[in-house]
Amino acid sequence: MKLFELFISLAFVNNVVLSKFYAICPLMGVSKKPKNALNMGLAVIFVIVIASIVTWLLYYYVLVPLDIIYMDLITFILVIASLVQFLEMLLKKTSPEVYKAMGVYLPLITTNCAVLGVALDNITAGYNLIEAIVAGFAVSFGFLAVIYIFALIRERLDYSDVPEAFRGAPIALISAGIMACAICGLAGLI
Amino acid sequence: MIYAVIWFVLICAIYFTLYILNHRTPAPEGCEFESPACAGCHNIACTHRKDDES
Amino acid sequence: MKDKLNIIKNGIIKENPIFIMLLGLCSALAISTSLTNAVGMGMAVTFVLIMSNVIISTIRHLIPDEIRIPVFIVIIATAVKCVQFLMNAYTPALYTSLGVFIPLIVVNCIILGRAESFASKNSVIDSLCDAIGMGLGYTLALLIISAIRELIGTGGLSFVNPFNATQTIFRFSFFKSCAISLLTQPSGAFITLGCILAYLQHRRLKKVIEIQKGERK
Repeated sequence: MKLFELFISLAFVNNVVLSKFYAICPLMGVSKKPKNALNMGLAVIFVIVIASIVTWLLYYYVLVPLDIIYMDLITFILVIASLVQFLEMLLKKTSPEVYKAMGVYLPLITTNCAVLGVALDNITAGYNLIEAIVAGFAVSFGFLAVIYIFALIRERLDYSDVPEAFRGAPIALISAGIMACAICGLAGLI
Repeated sequence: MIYAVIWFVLICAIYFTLYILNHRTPAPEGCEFESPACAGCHNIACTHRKDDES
Repeated sequence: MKDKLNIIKNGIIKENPIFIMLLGLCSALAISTSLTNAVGMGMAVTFVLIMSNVIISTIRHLIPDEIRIPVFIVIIATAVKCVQFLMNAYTPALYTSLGVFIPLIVVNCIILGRAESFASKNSVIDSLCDAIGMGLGYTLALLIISAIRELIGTGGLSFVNPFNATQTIFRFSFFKSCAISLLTQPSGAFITLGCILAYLQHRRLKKVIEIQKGERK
């Protein structure tokens, strides 16, 4: 039951995009078309779940025993970057269809704050391996939900009568602010 | 201290190897990148970014 | 000398990382709840920018072209870890309030972007000026956002010495009763930045209309 609460809390109540501002850059850049947003979200789920597992294992089975905890940042960022390269290579060689759909977003995920943020948060919060996997999946699922809804909203904003000064990034940010207000309403859920 | 240096060299080597291998693997046919999807992105680290965009 | 000053001015006004290029918004929106945090984060990012730009510019001829980006990431990660340790030692209150956003400077698009587009192609002094300019531009943008959020959100402004948390440099309190505390919440950050960008876009459009009117005459 505790895992379910963790999932709901990280995916919806404390959504990382709208309350901790983790993955803002892709939110602004990629979310013009809903289909692209969906593909980006699926790629992010893939990377974050695997990255959570690998970084957790490396932290507790390599860095802590060898007493080199100060290497955590360098280890995490290089592991995440190598993971992204490896996954892209794997997709290129094994399934071109999946690569065409979501492989193009993989290099963008290296500098996504969410992946490194989730890896560091898992360590700070002291989760065990199962909780770290659930946290990774919850965060990326929350990201997918937000980016998809945001893409749908932005598509409709293109046809609305927005004042000239607000067209483009400003109205997108204000819509994100209203979405963040809405998420605040879930605060008492867990 | 020596463990840190060995670990650092090891993960750098793994990352550089995977990066070079990925760079040299060509994308499958029919997957030429459509730049309109990336037009608004300022992310320099993206490998799909064409070099004449800077 | 003049072109160095131009490079610095470029980073502050013409290519301001937050307002014009929209890079590095993650930390900018999360940190800007108070002036102290803004100054602290600005200092950290400027320091990392200077370190990484200078190092990359010094070794730019030794890096093979194929592995540019991995080398940049390693150098930036090392610089950020140094800054993290320094902040933990000399500014512990700031370190706890900035939290996870200090390590997240590694994936801040500004630093990798400047390394790729400027430091790897220009001399050391030019890269240093560019780093100073971008850092100052980032700090200025953060100060503007935090000032608005703190002033309207809590009704006052306050600034604490980052190196000595017990020393308050100033603390003004203008109004308490009609403070809009929405602006201290995450949604307030989005709305503040959206309104600031709208104002800048409005000024830009007005300038374009004036130029067009001048051309027609």
